[in-house]
Amino acid sequence: MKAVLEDGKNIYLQISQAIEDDILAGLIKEEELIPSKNQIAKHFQINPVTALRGVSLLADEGIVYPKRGIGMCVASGARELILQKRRKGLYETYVRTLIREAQKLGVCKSELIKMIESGETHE
Amino acid sequence: MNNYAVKTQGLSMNYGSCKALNSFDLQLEPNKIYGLLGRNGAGKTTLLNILTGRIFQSSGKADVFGKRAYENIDILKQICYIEEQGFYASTVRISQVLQLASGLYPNWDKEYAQSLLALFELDKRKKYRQLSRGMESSLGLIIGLASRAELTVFDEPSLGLDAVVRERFYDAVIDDFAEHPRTIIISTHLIDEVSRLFEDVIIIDGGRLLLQADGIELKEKSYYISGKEQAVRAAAEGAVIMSEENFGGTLILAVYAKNGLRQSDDTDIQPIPMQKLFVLLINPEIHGNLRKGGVIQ
Repeated sequence: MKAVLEDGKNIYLQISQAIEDDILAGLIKEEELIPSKNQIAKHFQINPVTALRGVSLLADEGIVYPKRGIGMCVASGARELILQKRRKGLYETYVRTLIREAQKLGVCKSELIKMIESGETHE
Repeated sequence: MNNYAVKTQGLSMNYGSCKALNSFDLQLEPNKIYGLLGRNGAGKTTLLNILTGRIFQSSGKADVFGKRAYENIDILKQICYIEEQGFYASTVRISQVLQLASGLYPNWDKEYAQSLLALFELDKRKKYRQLSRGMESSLGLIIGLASRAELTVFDEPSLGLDAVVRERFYDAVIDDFAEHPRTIIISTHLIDEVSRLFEDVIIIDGGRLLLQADGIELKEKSYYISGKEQAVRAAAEGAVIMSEENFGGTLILAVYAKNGLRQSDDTDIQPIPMQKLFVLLINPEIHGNLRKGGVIQ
């Protein structure tokens, strides 16, 4: 789980994303428990109801499911679900912003593509 | 139905010609954390004083757990009210204050009180008059938390507290609330700092209830939009405009958008921090618009 929440951004979206990030990074594996709403609330100093909203969002999408009497568990196939969703969001959240910024700076298409390619080789 | 923790109807309090509370209607559900926000003199403390049975209203109803708190020992026992300023005798020691509190509150947890003493680094042998402003506030926090009262009210709990103690207090509230849910009202001026604890926000202004709303929803509908005038105006269509600023060729609007905003490439959209939002909402110049838009009462 990340250390602190970012100011101003929607708190429960940040929480559901933080849990997704942990699942993607393999920090929480499928069929393992995610932190409880109270643990999350304490960690980020937020109202437990807000924490619950973040978790409910994941439950609605089938990424986690309630295990009776224990807590919320990462569903099998959750990683794939998150990957698919995030790939769809890649254009909306990042590529569009990237193109916009490039246009603002007068960076042309071929330069931008070159940057992406050199970025890939650095990875 | 008597399942409200707090319910007021037409509650008014007059001090001479001054209307400290003016036909105030409020309903609080049990087991939630409420933030009570308002400017100095808005009527916050008057409201809290009436709810907790310290004073009696001029007219209207004020019920706590379905009954009037004033001179009602069964209700008063369930209420812990931590005022801005404690009124203990100056020679009393902290240990004696806690002893007294343990007799007053049926849910008092002695062990928890001891652990809070350590958490807030208070020496229980100290006399009340030896306490600094911050220590006095800390003592209030300990009593408020350890009372585990069904209705716990903190009036400006952070007065004089350093950042370390404040953080420990917020942690303690969340921790203890998880295990012992109860109705908590926190009145504060440190809005951004405490707003993450709130489930609901109550804004009071000039003795009237201006707004009561789910804190998250309120924030989710409030945005700054900036960019070129035309694009900003288009994005803000249908939203209530709370402020307008022209700055270096861009137009910046603060809006309350009940039905969300249209995303567009040529505007920047940012959320409004709670404290800034409070300042906007409290501005009488835009109350007409806000009322029309159904944002405030």
